[in-house]
Amino acid sequence: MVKRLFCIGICLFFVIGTGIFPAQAQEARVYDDADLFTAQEESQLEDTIAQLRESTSLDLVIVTVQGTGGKDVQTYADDFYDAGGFGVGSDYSGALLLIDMGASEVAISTCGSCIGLLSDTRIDAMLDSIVGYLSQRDFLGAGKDFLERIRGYSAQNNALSGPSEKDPRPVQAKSWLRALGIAFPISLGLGGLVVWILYLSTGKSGKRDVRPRSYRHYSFLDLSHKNERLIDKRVITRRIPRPQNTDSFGSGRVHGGGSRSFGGSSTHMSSSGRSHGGGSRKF
Amino acid sequence: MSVLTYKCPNCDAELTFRPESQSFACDYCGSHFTQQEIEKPIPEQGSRTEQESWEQEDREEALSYRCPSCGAQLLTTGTTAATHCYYCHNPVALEGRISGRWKPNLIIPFSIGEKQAKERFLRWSQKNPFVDRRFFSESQLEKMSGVYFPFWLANSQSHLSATATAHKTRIWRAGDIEYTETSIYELTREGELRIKNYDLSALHRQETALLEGILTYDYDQAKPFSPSYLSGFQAERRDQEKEDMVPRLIDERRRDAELLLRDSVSGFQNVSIKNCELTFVSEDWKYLLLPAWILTYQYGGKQYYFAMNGQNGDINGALPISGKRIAALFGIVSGISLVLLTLGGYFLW
Repeated sequence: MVKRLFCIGICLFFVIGTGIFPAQAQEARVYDDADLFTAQEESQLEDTIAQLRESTSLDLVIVTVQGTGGKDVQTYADDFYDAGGFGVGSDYSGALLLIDMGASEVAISTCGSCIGLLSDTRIDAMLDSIVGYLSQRDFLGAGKDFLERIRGYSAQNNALSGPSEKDPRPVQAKSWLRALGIAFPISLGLGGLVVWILYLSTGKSGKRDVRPRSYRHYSFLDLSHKNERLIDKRVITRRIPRPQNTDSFGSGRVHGGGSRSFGGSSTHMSSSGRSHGGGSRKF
Repeated sequence: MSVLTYKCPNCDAELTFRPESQSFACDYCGSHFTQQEIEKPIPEQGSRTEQESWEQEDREEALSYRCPSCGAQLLTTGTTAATHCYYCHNPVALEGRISGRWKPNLIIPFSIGEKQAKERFLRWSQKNPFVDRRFFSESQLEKMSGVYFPFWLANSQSHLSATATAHKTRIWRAGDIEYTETSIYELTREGELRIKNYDLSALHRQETALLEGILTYDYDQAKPFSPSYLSGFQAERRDQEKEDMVPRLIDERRRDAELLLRDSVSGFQNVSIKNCELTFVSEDWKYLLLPAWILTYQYGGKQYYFAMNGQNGDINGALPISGKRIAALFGIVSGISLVLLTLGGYFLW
């Protein structure tokens, strides 16, 4: 009787437990429908993905298919990502590599912070490189290249932006010093101002208390006769110079050339409405 | 020289003038008397020879006299007309210094008594946070003394006749041309220049410069002189004669004439007085005693003087500033603001 209950309990635990604690880290990130990887290669890629998940906080997925069932490669990649519920954090940060053997196309879909991380230029570079591997039929190489490049870009970005959030202690001390440094001259100035104002207002001498004496206090003029007589008038004329005309701007010459944005990432919407970045290439 | 004192008819103690009640009171029996009740007529002149010898003696030198209350022989400086006996502290008035040609025409009695004067003074000086606090000690205020100072009061009327030139300018534009029209006027003025109650210090002493600052007495309140008012206070006799004052009046008249003429002109520019004639009509000089509370203080090797108008309480004087207090206030304000700003700043930036 006890044994039975125990068994049911364990079974329930697993059923409920797996529901409550989705062990995402153990979920597959390599979907090899086109069977391009061996089991070993798959687990290798999975390990790397798990590692990268820790170090870059990005969820990376590799998908290979024989065909997309008529769907556009980019859209297929975007939808696959969304449907799979991949992504780290509230903005679902991560990237997906899709290899479509049937159409000989490869696509990368980015989401969340990865959109910014993998700019259009970087996507182009990645696709160039991956296509290189695929033309050699080095599928593992393509997958690894995808992952390593992302590792590289992520590290670059971190180096540029300065210390990560895992390092708050020096910032605190810095912030105190800054506050003190700004407060010090202000407080000195304030002290000086207060003293100066008080000094002036109460004054060294009490003369401010005394009603000022003016001649009007004791002198008075009672006029019996007041006259104002015009004796002369003069008029001076002068010409006012006209203001000069200003020159018009622009020369009207023809220019060539074009413009190109760099460092930016273009985005598109998936079927579910979420924004994705990335690009696609034929190989 | 005879010394005047006023005795209480009831108990024979000394009477002093009380500004608060404008009457005379006896410290011992508490009786109050009006001026008429205690007045003894002062001899206008002693015998001629006596008068002359006194005048020769006391022009500048110290004079010795005998205190009628305690008999002490005391010295006094050349201009002192009333004081307290150094030993028994009873008030004395030196008759020879306030009679004859030294007799003041008018006097403005003290309206502010000693207690009130001290209070006013404290209130005034305590407003300044930088004053050394020892300044307010009782022993310091004890030294405050009520003194009557001698002044000359001038009243004059002159007939004034003046001419001046002035300009009026108009500017306008018509098309491309700007017109500037200058009209030149001749102004004439005629009338009476009156100077009423122009006061000048009759004592050539350092402290009297201070009195210039409180010189806004209401002369209409002046009373005919009587030595009884001096009782309880010090008084000084003049050392500047009317003849010494006249040049100052002449200068003032000229100056005021021009200023008042300019006041009478409005709407003109470049007023230039061409001639101004003053013709004497009348002139009148009065010799006055004016009340002031005086306090002297020594601080940091410097001598500080204060004068308070004994009629209306106006105060003039420089307060001794304590450098330490300035530094202390600066330190406190800076310190507090430093703490507040640093704390607040940490959260703000």
